[in-house]
Amino acid sequence: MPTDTLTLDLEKRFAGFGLALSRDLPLEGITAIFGPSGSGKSTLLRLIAGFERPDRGRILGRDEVWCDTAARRFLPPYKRPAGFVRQGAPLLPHLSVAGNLSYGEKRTGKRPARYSLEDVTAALDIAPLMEHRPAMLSGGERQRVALAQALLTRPDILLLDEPFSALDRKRKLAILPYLQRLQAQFAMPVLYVSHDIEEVASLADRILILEAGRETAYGDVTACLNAHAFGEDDDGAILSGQVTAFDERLDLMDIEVAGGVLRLPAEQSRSIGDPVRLLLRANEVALSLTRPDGLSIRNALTGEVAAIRADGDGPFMRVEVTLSGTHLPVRVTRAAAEDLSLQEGQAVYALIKTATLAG
Amino acid sequence: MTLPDLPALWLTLRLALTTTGLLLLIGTPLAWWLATTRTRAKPVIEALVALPLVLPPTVLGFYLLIAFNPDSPIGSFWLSVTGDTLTFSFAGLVIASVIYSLPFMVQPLQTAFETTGRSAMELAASLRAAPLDAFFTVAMPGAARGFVTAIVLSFAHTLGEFGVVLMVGGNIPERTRVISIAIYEHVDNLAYAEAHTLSAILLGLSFIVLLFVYAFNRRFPVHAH
Repeated sequence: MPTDTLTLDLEKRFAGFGLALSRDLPLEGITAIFGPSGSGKSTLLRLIAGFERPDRGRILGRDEVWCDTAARRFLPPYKRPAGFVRQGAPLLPHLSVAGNLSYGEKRTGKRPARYSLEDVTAALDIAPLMEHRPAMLSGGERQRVALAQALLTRPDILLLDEPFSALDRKRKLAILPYLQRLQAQFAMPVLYVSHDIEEVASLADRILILEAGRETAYGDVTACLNAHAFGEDDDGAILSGQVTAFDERLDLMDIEVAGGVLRLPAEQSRSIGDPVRLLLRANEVALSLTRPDGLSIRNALTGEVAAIRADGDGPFMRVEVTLSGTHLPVRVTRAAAEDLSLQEGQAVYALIKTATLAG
Repeated sequence: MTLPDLPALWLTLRLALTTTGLLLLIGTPLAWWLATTRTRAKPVIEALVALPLVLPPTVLGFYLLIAFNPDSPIGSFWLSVTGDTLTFSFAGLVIASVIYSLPFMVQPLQTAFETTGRSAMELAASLRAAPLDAFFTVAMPGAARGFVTAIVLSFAHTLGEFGVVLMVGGNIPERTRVISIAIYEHVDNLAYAEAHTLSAILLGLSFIVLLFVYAFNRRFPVHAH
């Protein structure tokens, strides 16, 4: 009985850059590979696809050897059961959408077909595009066709190398639900490379964080992102929560998180009990000593000041607030911190101007 | 057109077609190799391929004449295998033309293959196409415009060749006497009417061929990403 695992044990050196990783990834759900550019995440994906050869190491997919430098074995990319969608999601320009989809499907051979062409085109809403040429497609349509094309090779895993980075935020948010649908409908394991916190928080079931070619964290998305993903310039936190109620009249939904309940615009796709992740940015949160009254901001979480420190030499301070165990960094002006005479241990209300719902 | 010129016209077309066909077989893999190789020898090969562009045809023809001589290794080998000489023969003309027109086939193809690029070949591989399969089904269709340009240029260039042919083939009717040499001979003999006819045919042929290329490029615009 083969294990549903992708086994990675790799070393690869380039001029001025090295990747070294040893990690077993389960072949289920969406695994995000997250890191700044130059961290080696794309190289890792290309090694798995077989477009690069490691200097040393091995890759096993479901106990099948894809690469093993010690045994001098290397399965060429076209023999690996992996679908690959790269940045910009290029298609074969001389074929129609239908031709693009059948190109891979007819070369796939006798792999068990758990789903049909019709299932895939329906799930990705591309059935009306079948006669179109790739040059006629919009960015979002091209991404969906590329996903379908990869799916139809019936791979064991789908490798996505920042496929949506060329799309603007609105189009990107429109395509993410499709990926989740593929998960639910086709149970297709996905390895997803991204440097976008919001994207990762919204999609991933687990995360592998790379920095300078080394693993810095692996596992729970919220915990790993909070520990490693936020920096000085782009500070914030991910809060895990749960949908607890819908208000049909005001078109809002209640989300229970550490420190209270947030009321956010209702989303049709959610139902009561769904786990969600919220992305809060440090400069989109304000602090108050009293429960807000007479303010348009209605979302307030109760917490306690854990630490205060200067944010560089500028006029800002970085206040660390603990919301029953969860840390939330808040950026306030030095003047405000002095006016409120903020101190460690003090009870505060964190006023949430905007919260991005992710996951 | 006087009847004696018909064989020259026919010979020219046969030479251009044979040369273009052989160049397709030789130039396609060579251009692909140049477009994808990472070897340090690449500039050397590229310079060798481009040499006929800058070399006076008579210089190239002179060296080929020496190489084709029945006393030389190449010339004597050919003689022993085929029983015919390479100099002053159609076979010699074809080989000389292939070398002379090589850059016109290789350069447009190399550019086209480089544009298609590694990313298209990787896409094909991720869609389970083996390398040769991917070459025929992705790289070649992607380079369709490059092929049209390369074929037309090679054909047209061979059609108008003079210096190399004269050096290697001479002026033997129905064997090595091509149009350009026939025109030269007519003018030399002050037979302007015959020279006019042949020149007009060549001019018309060249224009029609180029018209075809530009019309084709209009119908198939560059695939935008």
